[in-house]
Amino acid sequence: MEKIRVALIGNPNVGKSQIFNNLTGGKAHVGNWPGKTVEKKEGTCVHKGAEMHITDLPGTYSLTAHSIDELIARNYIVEEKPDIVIDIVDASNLERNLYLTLQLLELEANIVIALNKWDVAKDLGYEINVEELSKLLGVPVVPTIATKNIGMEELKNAVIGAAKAKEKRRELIISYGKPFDDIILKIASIVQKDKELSGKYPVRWLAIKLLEADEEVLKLIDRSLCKEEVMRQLSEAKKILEEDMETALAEKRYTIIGEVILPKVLIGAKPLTLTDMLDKAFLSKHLGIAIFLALWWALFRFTFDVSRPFSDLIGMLFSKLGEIASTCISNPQLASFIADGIFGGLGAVLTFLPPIFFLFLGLALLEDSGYLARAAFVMDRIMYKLGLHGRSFIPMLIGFGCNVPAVMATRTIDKEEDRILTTLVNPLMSCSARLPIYVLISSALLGSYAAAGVYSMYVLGIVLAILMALLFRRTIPYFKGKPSPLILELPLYAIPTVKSTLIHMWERGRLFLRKAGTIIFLGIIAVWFLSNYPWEAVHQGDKVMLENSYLAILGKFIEPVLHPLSFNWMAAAALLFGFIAKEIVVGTFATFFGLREEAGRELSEALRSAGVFTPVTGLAFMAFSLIYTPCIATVGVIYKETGSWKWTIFTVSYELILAYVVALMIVTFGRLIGFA
Amino acid sequence: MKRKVENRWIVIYAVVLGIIYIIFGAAEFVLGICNLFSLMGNAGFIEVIPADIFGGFAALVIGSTYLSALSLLKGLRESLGYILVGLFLSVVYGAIYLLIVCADGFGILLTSLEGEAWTWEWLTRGSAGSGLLRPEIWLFFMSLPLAYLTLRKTERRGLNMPKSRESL
Repeated sequence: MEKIRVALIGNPNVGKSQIFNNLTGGKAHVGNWPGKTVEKKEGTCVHKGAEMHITDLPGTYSLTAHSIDELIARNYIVEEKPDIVIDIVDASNLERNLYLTLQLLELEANIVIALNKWDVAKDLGYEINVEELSKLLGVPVVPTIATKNIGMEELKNAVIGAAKAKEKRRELIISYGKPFDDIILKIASIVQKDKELSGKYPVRWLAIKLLEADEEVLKLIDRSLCKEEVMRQLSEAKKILEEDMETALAEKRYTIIGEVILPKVLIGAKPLTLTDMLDKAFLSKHLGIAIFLALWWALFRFTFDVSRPFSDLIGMLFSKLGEIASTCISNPQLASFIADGIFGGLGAVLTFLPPIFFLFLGLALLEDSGYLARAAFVMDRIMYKLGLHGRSFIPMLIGFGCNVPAVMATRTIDKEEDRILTTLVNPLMSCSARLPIYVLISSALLGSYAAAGVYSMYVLGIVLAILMALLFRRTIPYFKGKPSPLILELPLYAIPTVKSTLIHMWERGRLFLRKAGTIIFLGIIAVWFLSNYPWEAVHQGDKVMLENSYLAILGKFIEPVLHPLSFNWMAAAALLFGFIAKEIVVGTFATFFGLREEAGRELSEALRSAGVFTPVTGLAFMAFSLIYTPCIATVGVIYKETGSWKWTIFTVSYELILAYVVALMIVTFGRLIGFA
Repeated sequence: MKRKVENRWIVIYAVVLGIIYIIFGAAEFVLGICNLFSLMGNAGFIEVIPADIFGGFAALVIGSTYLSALSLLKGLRESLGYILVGLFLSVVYGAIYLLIVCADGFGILLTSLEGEAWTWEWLTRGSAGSGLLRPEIWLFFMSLPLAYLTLRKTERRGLNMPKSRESL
């Protein structure tokens, strides 16, 4: 019986697993790729007297060496040399999927294209000339609908046919135009001289990869006798081309697809979808970022202004509970503990529950509609230029909710340097725990500019994250070089459902609730104890002498360090407790003012009337809170993700210094332009 | 999906809306800047147009998005996206400011329950600046005929818009 070794490859979500199951009857041997934790699936299929041994390769958009999935797929094709590679192409998204096809052709793989999701493409109005596509690429093309098991027999026939006609297959050379083709040819002719290399790998592919500065291929050349000659040629090429060649060649491939292949393959005009039309504006070079900022501002008005009466309502509720507790409990220490410590402190923190849930509701709507992925794409243009990986934007966005899952989300970034760099700057993204501080300070001191004050903190966080990334990229040798390019799948726009939006909102918001019930609660009790004891020294008759408390002693101890920023001992103590969790900062102020009856708005009024801050020092305090270490949990997760105390201590230290410097700049500049 | 669009009136309407948004946006932005450097509070010398830097910026963005629809006249069908996104932003901002006015009313109701006097001032002055008089609110209502025109002149055959992500 003839044996054919078949590899299945395709972009993620093209129906690869479905086709694998259809071909193998769902019987798969599941293991891991050697030395990796990536799943490897293998199965067999007997058809017309031939036994096909099918290997399912990891889903990948390209065959660069940026991620482990891409490397596994590429190495398998290059080193194992399967008889046939079934390239599963999403017929409803030819432009993106054919990119991988072109790379497979460069690898000189013996390809059969399964044009899957044929039904979806038809529904969208695409009319594809299959014969023309087959003729242009020089490979068999079979339309399939994997979900309905349609086209599988034809696909098996095509595989057997292609395996038999292996030697007769026309070799397709993809032209990148001048001067690329000349340079590729020169490098290929040099590599050709190394018989070991040229016997194992396609020389043109090696030349292209060398131009792209592919790390794995550079390692191969490192051991070759033709190394010096290749390097000389590469440095000459760099002088001629003066651009990032990996990006330039990727753009050329997309140009070939968009201008050469698609016009011949798509019959009639390319269908215009609502997604195409919306993307015209949302992804616009000139308007994309402005629209993103406008939507972000709308989200903040929604978060800050619409949620306010709900916060007042919670404040009123805790105020009543505090009143009841202080009336019913005769022991003054216990009454103070219940009313001031628990209802006062916790109540002050929980009044910020509405803005946090409103923020997550807005974020869930943006995410479920498909816009957030576009935001990442739009921001990539800036992020790449500033030394951050485009995919860093997703952890950054998550950072607006909580830095702990955000730091964990950096795992999606393939290159270690890019990943650690994103981890280092991620805490600068303003998490929801800091929102209560901004809301409190800005509503107390910034009047009608309160929302603008909050918004500016978020913008400051983004700007600082970018600047620090740029600085680290340029100054720390470990990060030197360029980030790897972003490949992102943009989903279709969708109308978010109420259920999924509410679920997303709840999943993120409950983190705050959980923290409120544990670490914040304990922190507030600690603050209450430190601010009320020694009891006799603090409570002298009807007077409360807070300056005699342990908390005041602690605050006054730190105060000289923060004196240049005009922060008094109250602010110093609040910042100290903010190390545990940022929410405790607000609870600390509430305890200072003994606001067992009041919360939220009244706390703002108390802060304003006590003169703890001026508008300028308030803004500086907000900036300090934004920049210095978010919380103990984030520090823990940074250590876990970087696996290094060096990077963890570095993150905490640079943030403290940066917080101090930025706050000092705000205070100094404010004074220079005449604000107190 | 192929869409037939009778462009002229839609583009004219979008351009007019865009110009109005830009005028009000620029005014809000400039007033906001002036206010910031004068007394760091709301001078409020023009009742209808609030001094709002970021709100003004957003209105400028909406106006620019509408104006970008001019490329529809060159036959670029996908430029209809500018009108759709302009409409989307108009709706978002109109709805946000209306919600803010409602939230102000709710806040006044709560304070009145605590014994403070009830007032109707929140309808014309509050967190949204000039309350219901805020330009973005009535510009939102002015955008509704454009939404109607755009949808009426557009064939919705094969609209590529799933109801939810789950249905994809």
